[in-house]
Parts: sequence; structure tokens; C-alpha cells
Amino acid sequence: MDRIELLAPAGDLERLKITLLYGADAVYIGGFRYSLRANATNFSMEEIKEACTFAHSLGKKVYLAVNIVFHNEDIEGIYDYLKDAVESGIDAFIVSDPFLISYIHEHFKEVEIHVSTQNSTTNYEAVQFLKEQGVKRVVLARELSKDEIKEIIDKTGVDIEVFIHGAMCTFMSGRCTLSNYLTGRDSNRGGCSQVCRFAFDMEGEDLKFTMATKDLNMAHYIKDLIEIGVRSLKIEGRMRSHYYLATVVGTYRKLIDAIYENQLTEDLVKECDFILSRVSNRENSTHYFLKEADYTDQYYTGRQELSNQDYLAYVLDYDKEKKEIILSERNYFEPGTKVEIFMPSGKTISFTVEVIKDKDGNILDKACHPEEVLRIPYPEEVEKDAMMRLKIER
Amino acid sequence: MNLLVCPKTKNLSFDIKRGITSFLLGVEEFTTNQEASFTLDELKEIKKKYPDIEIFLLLNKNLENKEIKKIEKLLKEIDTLGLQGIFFYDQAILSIHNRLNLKTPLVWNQTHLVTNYNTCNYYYDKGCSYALVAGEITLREILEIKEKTKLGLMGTILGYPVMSHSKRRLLTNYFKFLDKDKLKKRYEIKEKERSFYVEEDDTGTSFYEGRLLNGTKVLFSLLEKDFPYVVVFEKGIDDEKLDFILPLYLKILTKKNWTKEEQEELITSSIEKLESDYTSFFYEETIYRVKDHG
Repeated sequence: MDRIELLAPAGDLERLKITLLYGADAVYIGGFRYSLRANATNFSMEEIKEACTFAHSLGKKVYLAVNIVFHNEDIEGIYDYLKDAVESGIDAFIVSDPFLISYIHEHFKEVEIHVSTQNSTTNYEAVQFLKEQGVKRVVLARELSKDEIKEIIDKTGVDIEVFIHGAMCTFMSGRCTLSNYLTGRDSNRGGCSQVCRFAFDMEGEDLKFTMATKDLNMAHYIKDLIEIGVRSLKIEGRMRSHYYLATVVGTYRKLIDAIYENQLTEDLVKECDFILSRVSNRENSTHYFLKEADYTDQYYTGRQELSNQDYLAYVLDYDKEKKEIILSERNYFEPGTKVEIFMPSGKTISFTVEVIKDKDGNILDKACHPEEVLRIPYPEEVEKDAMMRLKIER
Repeated sequence: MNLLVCPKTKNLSFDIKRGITSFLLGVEEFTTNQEASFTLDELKEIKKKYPDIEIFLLLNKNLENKEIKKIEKLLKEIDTLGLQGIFFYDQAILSIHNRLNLKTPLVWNQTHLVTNYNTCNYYYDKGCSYALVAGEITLREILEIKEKTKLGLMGTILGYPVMSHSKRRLLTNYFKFLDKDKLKKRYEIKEKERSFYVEEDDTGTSFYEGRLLNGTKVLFSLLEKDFPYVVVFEKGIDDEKLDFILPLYLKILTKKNWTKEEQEELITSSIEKLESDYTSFFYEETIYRVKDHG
């Protein structure tokens, strides 16, 4: 049996490499046109090619989001864009505007079509309709329960992808144009200004009316999703940081592998949940999976989004001769700081920093310059691209 | 061209007295964003009472698995009534319609998604007859779609635009957090002095623009280009305003060759009576890229 796919976002080539190294089976990206994250860095066609080459060398896949709701002016040039993407090695297109389904099916039959959550697909009849149009996979609306997802899978046999982690839209995807009306930015063409995180004056009340939702976190229910036959687990966040992506992808990788290897324990789930909750800076919820979303799934007062200072350094290399880790600094630390390093392979080590050196070997009393290259003595080899964070006290 | 009115009450006689002969009616359990929804029996009664009016139905909610059998049964029964069309949001309706080879014409009505001619043609190929264009595109875009699609196009010319819809009960949740009761269905909220309306019903919560769309100026362009219908959503509009504007629209539809001066006069009077010159996105483009990729 094929293992469930872990699908991660990447806003640029560097993020793509990190998510794949940390355990994603596939990655979804946007190009310079047609993507719902118009203001992410995104990928040039050259970079898409490099991304595909890199992913395929690891036996992994790249999906290209072409998921805007098209206006007339967007139609011109679409053939060349899709053709270039296909020639660059894209494994699937993620679309929401249905004309693209038949268009891709007609011109690029060899490439899979995945229907975006932007289509707000909420029932088996609609999934069956999409299947008959040649769609390989449907990313379901985020408003569905476990039973509803299972019924759709059982009745259609279509590959189903669901979100498992990250920010949630308050409104049904495709049914929100608050951004258009309040800021003149087109939400369905990638310009969403996140008006759902604004605070409004409410008639007759002192407390501002807010509607922002807590983040989705499905750490406790990955086993359920595997058991009901979901094909792909999607992480939100093409514009998230390297540290966030490495942490979230690595943590879900650990959970998924433990499930397939019969190593899943309640302690492991709790630990993973703890790590995931800490990295996001927001409270978490499972939203519609177990019940109708209610008042506990939202924020109502001015929520402070504190900057996460856990991430201390990025591992550039390991000097085997001197037995020193070579790092690039991200946040303040000093001798005596308890740290842990988590690696792309999933291995984590913990220790207390005793000595910090600059790149020339001079002893420092603290690390306080972001991007500064540092050396820390450590007896065992540490993987390149690992990340060092504050030791998280469980 | 016909004026298609989505009424704010179940009593159609008010609009019939205003001269309206084409109605867009909600159906209980399957319609969102509307005041008046009807049962199948009530629809049959209306057909009997007003045999000469045109009736379109508005089935615009996202459907759940548990509603599929029910909507299938409803669509079969509707198909025997000889109605003019069904406005649909969920692709399940299109799927069922085609699977059962039903005859009632379909109107593609995915509120914010009807934005280009290629997708209109896609739905034409799938068996749809009409589409109601999104309220977030410009008149120029609308006219280009009209030129390049085989679907009969409709445009909204009057109403409070719906901006978003959530399955969440956002008002109930807010008041629950405050440990208070939600006392009404609709509340006004403000952001930087601009007003909006939030409304909660059985399908979730919808947000509305606080300004009344006045598409009188646009009506002349759509009339010129032979749009089969223009649509009015009465929800939230005072009777006094409707008493003025609906007969005015019917008058405009009686001929095409209005002079510029006549048009100006009619537009000005509509602005005065409706107390709104808001034309939404008809003449205003949205942007979506604030970052230059070079």
C-alpha cells in the first residue's frame, strides 16, 4: 500500500529544498503568474525547472498552483505558461477555475490535475463531477468533518487531499471578496489582504468584532486520516519561514513514519503537538474535523502575535577535523544556553552550549548578530541544513 | 431584456403591482443570502396563482453529503414545473441535472467566480444556459465576456452586494464570547467609518457592503448589448425606493435609443431617490499583485 503523501508549501527555491529535505513527499509552489499567493516570492520558470530537478532527484514531486479565478486578461499567455511548466517537469497542476480542467486535459494530458480548495468542494456528487472531467485529485473544502471526508472517499474513489496544519480562512474559499471591497485587492487572484484578521466596531458593543480563526493542527488525527483513506496531507503556508517549515514538516514526517512503523505512542503525539503549537505563535484547533466549528475556534480580543525566538541558528556544515558545528546565527544565545538541534533525517540532539567561537576561532561571550557565522564544539557529526533551537521544556 | 427581481418578502403582490413579471426565488434549506425562501408546495401555489410570471430558483448554498439525495429529489420535482431556470452554486447540482437529463435551464451563479469568458464557455459546454456575472469585475470585462461567450449573460444592477460567506456562526460566536444573547439576525459593523452588514442564518454568516449598488448607468450598456436579464436583489432596500426604481427600470427597458441627455436625467434621478451613486467595481479595477517580480 502506498503511504499517505505529506505535501508542503514553498514560497521560493530555498524553502522548497528545506521542506523536501525535512521529509515532505511533494511540494506545492506558485509561479510568477496565476497563483493565489501573488505576493510570495514565487518561482521563475528557470527556478521551477531547478525545483523539479531537485525534487525528482529525491524521488519527490512538485505541484504548480495555477489556482486563481481567471479574469479575461489572464487568459492570454496561459498555453505558453502551462507548456513551459510541463517542460520544466511539473508533476501536477493545482487549479480552481474549471475551464483549466478541460484545457489541461486537452493540451497536457500527461500531467495530473488537482482541484484546489478554492473550488470549495463539499460533497461526493461534486467530487464525482470533477472526476468525470478528468481530475485526479480534489483538495476538499476545509469545512468538512471526518465522516464527510470518509463518505466522499468511499463513494468516489478519487484521490483526496486535506489540510492538516496552518492558518485557516474564516470564510469559504472562493466565497470571500472582503479584500476586494475593503482594500481593492482581489482575493481570488492572489491579492488577499486578510481582512478576516481586521477588527471592526460592532453596533452597541465595546468589544471589537473579530472573526480571525485559530490555526489548524491535526497532529492527534493523522492516524484517522490515514485510516479513512485520505491520499495527501497538506500543510498551509507558502510564505512561512524556513524554521517554521522545517519544524512542521519534520514533525508530521515523524508522526506519519511512526504510524506506518507501528511506533506511534500517545507520548510521541503529545510531544509533536507541543512542538507544532509552539512554532506557530497562534492557538490551535481541529476546526470542523470532529464537530461544527464554534466560538472556541476563533479569537475575539486583540491577539498579540509574539515573534518566536526559539530558532537560534542554521547549520551550514560540520568540521570533522575540529569537531565543530558551523552555524549561521538567527537569534541571541550565549554559553550555558540549553539547545537542541533537529536534523533533516528526523534525528534530534540536545546539549548545553559551552563555547561559542566566531568563524576565525575567536571566543565570543554571546551570539547576537543575525547571519554571523559561528562555530560550536560538538563531538558528533551534525547534518548540514539542521536547525538549532532553544531546548523546549515539555 | 427582462428585469429579474429577487424579492425581499414571500408576498409577490408588491412587486407584481410594480409591474414585475420575472422573479428569482429562494428555496427553503438550499438558499443563502436571501430573506424569502419558499417550499416546493408554495412554489406550486405561486405558479397556479400567477401563471404568466417567469420564475427562476436560487439554489446557492454549498451542499453537504447528507443533502445530495434531498436536492436530487427536489430537482426532479422542480423539473415538472416548467420554470425558467435554476441559479446554482454547487457543481453537484450541475452533475445531478446532467445525470438525470433534466430540462430546466441552468444559470451558473457562483457568486464571485463568474469572471471570464472561457469559464462561461466551459459551463455552456456542460449544459448551462445562462450565467450571472460576478459583482467584482468591471463593465469593460462584462462586455468582453458577453462578446465571447455563448451563455446568456445576466448582470446585477441593484442590491447590497454580498462580500463573503462563512459556514461559521460568527455572530453567535461573538456574543457567546461576550456571554450575551444574539438579539437579531443582522448587525452593522464599521471599519474606518465605512459600514457593512453581518447577517447569520442557518447556512452560516454573510457579510454585505453597506452601500447600495446603483447600476442605473450600467443598465443602458447592458440593454444596448442585449443582455437577456438584469437582476435586482431587494434585500435590505426600502419599499419607497423600490416603488420608485423598479418602474423606472421597466421604463428604461422599453426602448434602446435613449439620448445621452435622457440617460443622464434618469441616472441623476436614480441617485437622488436611492441616495446612492455607488457603482461597485463597474468602473474600478482591483489589483492583486503588490510585489513586482521584475
